[in-house]
Amino acid sequence: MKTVLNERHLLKRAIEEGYVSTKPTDTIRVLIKHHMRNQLDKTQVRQEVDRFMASHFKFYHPLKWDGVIHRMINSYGKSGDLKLHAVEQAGVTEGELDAIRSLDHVEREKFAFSLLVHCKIANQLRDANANWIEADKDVYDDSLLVLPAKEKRLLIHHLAGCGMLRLPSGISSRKVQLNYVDHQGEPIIVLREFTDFVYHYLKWRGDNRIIECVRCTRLLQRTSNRSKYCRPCAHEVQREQKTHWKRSKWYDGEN
Amino acid sequence: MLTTDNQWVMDAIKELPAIICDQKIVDKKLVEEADLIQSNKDSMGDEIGAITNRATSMYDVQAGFVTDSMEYMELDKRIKLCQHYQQNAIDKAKGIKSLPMPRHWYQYRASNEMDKAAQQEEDVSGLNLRLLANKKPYFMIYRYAGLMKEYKAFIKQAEQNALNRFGMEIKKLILKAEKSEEEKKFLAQYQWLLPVTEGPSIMNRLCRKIEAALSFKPRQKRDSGFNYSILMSENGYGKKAYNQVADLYEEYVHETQTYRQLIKQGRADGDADSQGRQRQLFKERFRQMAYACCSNEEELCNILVELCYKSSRSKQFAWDISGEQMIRHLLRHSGGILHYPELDEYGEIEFGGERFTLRTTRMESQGEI
Ligand SMILES: [Zn+2]
Repeated sequence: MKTVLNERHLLKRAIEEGYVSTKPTDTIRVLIKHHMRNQLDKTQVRQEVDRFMASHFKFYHPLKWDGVIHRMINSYGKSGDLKLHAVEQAGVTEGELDAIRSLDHVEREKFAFSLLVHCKIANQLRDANANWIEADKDVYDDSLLVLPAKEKRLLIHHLAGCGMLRLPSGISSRKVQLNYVDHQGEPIIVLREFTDFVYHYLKWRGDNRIIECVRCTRLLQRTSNRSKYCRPCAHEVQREQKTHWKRSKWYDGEN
Repeated sequence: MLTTDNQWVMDAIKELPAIICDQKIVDKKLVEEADLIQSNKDSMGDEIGAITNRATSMYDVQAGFVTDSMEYMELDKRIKLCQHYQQNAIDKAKGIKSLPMPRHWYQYRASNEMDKAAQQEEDVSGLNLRLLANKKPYFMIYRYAGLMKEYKAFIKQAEQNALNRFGMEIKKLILKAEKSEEEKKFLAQYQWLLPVTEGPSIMNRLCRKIEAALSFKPRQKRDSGFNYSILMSENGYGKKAYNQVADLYEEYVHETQTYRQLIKQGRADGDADSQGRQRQLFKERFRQMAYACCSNEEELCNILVELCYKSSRSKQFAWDISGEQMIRHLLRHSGGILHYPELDEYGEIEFGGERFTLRTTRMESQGEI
């Protein structure tokens, strides 16, 4: 998941370290909110953002960013939603899980679950968001799909056909609106960590290959009897072993 | 100056009366610095290229109409007039006031207003909008990188949206026999928002032909069918040694990649010369480690060949460590016969601008090369 979940944290890093996020508009957004909260007018906000980007973002090209920053400042000036959001968790209710399960196609279900989680986060980040979400690469990546590309491209079509999604009439928009968000029910899956979160759905669905990582308790899908680490931990362990092995090899080689 | 007697070019030339540019002339004067400044200002945002491009766009729009139709003739007139507007743009730099190209030829808003005004008088509704040349023709995506990017991004999202809504690609949707209202609307919107015109003008058609001729299929998985056993001896190898060398191979690949990265980023130490020495040292280090895994030269060679040749990965590792042994195995399989190309003015083999003949020799001892 590449969505920025904690805007307060991002702002702190921007101010203290001059950090610019991988998607620079994330940093620009929190800076705009921050300065507007401090009662700066539009021109002043503009100057502050410009100054920050010029000194901390090496690819910054004022002319290229002019329109983007201008539009962002205007939209926050209008909406007045200046809260710095921090998403701690996302809960999924039984009603939502049942709706997803009714698709009865595990890959489509995984995709629907990923959309739902992204949507819940988007709703927390933008108060006025009415279950709209950009079906971008991030959503697909987080679905951990095992599907040929041709079928991946038809996922939205299938979900819309089941009445789960509403599609915009515009031809160049990536947004979709989810019809299966349940705002009342009690959450029965609560996500606090978003690496490979789709495994929580598979576990609920009864996939007995889903186990806990022995190092950090994140979920993983067992692919052999030896699987025991989640993806991030597996990378860590592999690196440690490699360094260890390299060291011993190095000494052997010198003898 | 370019001259040609090429029939295709000759046939394409239209015989037209010579153009006499009705030039407006400025009074002669001594040029002073202020005049130069003014001239620079006047020619700023040079329109000449833009006018040429608009004329090219008009050809593409024109290709969509029947020859001699009202639309065709009107565009013919406009295209001819483009030369006049070019002359005007050149004159502008000399300080001559002249009319620019009418906006309603290339701008949607102006064109729309023009049509609304015209509608009240005669019954040629929407003529200007139909003739509007507000986009570059398709083939220009190869000339303007920005246009190419815009075009590709638009197509990608439009394709995905067609799949989302109708479960089929745009190409199929266009060919579909009975279209629903929603589908018709989608396609109209697609044509309207497309950043280029895809009319059947000569340049666009040529462009499509070239694309078709140059389109190559994605590279097939390489199965050269090379029987690598001729690089090996018959005596096989042990499993344990194989696994050890396999680990070493991973290490080799990893270090080579890291080193390549360093060179790419310009962070590798020294000049080409010292880099060559480093490469020698690197090779020697791995040779020693490999012999530590397996001290039998023949067995080691078999392992290396098996390891490197069963996949499409780099074969350099095998040749670095066991190149000479592989040659020995090759010679053994050929009974000591060696074929090699020799420089020969009248040879049958042509390579790198030279000619060669294949010669054969017998290696005396199979042990050495
Ligand atoms: Zn873990």
